[in-house]
Amino acid sequence: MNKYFLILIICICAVFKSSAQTEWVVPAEHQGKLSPVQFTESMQQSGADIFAAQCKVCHGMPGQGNFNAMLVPSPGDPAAQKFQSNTDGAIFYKVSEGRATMPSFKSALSKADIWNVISYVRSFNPTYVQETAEKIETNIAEGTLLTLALKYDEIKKAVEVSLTGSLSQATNPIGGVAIKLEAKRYFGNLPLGDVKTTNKEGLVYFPWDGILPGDSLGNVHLIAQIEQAEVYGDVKTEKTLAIGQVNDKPALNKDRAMWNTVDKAPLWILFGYTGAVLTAWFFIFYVLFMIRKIFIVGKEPIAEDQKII
Amino acid sequence: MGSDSRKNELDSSKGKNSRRDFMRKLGLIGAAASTGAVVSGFTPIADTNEEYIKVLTADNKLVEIPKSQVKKVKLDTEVLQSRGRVGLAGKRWVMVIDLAKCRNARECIKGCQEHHHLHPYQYHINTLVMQDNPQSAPYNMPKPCMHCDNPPCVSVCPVDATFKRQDGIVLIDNERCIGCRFCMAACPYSVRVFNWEKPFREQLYQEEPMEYDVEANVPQRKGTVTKCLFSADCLRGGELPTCVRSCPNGVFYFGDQNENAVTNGTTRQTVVLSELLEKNAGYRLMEELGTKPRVYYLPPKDRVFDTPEKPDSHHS
Repeated sequence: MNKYFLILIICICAVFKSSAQTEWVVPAEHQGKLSPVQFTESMQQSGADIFAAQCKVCHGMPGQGNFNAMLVPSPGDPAAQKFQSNTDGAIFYKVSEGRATMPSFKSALSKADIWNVISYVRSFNPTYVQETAEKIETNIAEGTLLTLALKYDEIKKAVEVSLTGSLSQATNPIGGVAIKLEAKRYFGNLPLGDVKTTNKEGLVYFPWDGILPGDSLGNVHLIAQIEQAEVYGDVKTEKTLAIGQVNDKPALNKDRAMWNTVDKAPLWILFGYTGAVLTAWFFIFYVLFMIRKIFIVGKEPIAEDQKII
Repeated sequence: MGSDSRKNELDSSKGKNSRRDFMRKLGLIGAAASTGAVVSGFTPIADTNEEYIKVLTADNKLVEIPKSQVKKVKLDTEVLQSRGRVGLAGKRWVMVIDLAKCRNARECIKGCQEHHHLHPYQYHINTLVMQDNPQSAPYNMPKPCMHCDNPPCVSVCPVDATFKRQDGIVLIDNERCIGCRFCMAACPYSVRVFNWEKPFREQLYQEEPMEYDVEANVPQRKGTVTKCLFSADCLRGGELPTCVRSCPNGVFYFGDQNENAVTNGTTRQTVVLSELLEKNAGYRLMEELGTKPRVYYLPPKDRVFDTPEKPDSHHS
């Protein structure tokens, strides 16, 4: 009896453990997040393209159940009941943040892209009724045109970003808005420091230590933008400033090396080899010349009295 | 050496000239196209709904031209060869492979084989099952070409078919390759493969003859060596290499060492290269050989995936 009891307890523990493993807790403030716009067919189409490129490998095609079951935790079929029971906000959070085998798509996909994917996934749920987000109230008057400006402050040794809003020809600084600063790199933008909030003068300073590599002239292409694009709109500014480190690294094939081409060969090999070849030829010709000399001498007639034999 | 073989020799001035010629050609075509646009702008056209497309001219100006005026410029092998020999100025490509994240999805392999027209048994990149000792857990290790700064393969090639470019990429030119396979013997990482058979996409080449692009090593050719190229053709367009983009697990980082930044192919997060390597104990393969690889590995610590099968079970 005791043995069965023990087995039962182990089974219960196993069930709890597995359910704890598959549970993905989404913070309450993200649960209720809603799309700012109503899903459209074009959003679904674009979502389908992104899904095929980024999600299909693990999740399979929605509704076909061909997800990769080997993964722990299981990715699951996006059309399945369990997946669809997530709120829009929960799906957004999970796609954006990721955990364990699910990568974070925060940088790979824009917020609009993630909403497109959600609209595509929701198209497999006939009972789904979409709710859209109410417009978020801000302290900025309706119709204000926001402008960002970027410059380097020599004295403060910092990059200064200023945010101004113009409404009916009056321009005022705007405070309390989160700004992020990035540097353009070849394959993506590199975040520089944390997100900072503008002060009362509408200014924000990002300390600059000058170690970020720039191009051959030290130019760095900087991008400043408002963090909450869904609230304030897509406001950003770009500027190239000569405040980076000068990149004067030589080409990787510049040095002479033991490579297969003559114009890359080390000079000592070139001179050594050529010298050795010339010396060998000199010696060969010297010997040949001497043989010829002996031959000519042998042809000369010898007087009778000089003959030894 | 005859004048014909001289043409193909690594000669930077020749490369520059050809590129300049190419740019000039491109400029002429751009000018012709934009003139076409101006002309059509002054001519009253009944159909005002004509589609316009954006074109980047040789002098880096974005212009719009009517779709009907567009003529496709075909790059000939000579242009592809000379620009492939020269490479991208001011760049030093570097790859970082995070072993903790690899779970042998083999998407990098699939993407690569498709891009470079390889047989299913040929690998420019392969994922190996590794076990360092009987106690530690096995892990998967993707292994592309290391694109060494001191490449033994380049040293041994007798015909200058394989070469190192200014941006660090080691390429193979199968128009010069004589199939001696010295490079395969010299490579300590065994990354080179030989085309023993007819190319996998032979039929495609017959149906649609294509110019040889040394940066993708396509079309493949029987009797020549092929190898990982860091998708040099993609890099030119600002795109990450195919394997980096195909990975669903965020294993690969790729970027420019001169910019000290690498971008993850899956999450597209850009991080500081030196910090990534310092904080995560980055290492290179067979450091003691002095080959100076351009591929770094991050150790398979704190694995996010279950351990794969033991390597022995594959062969027993």
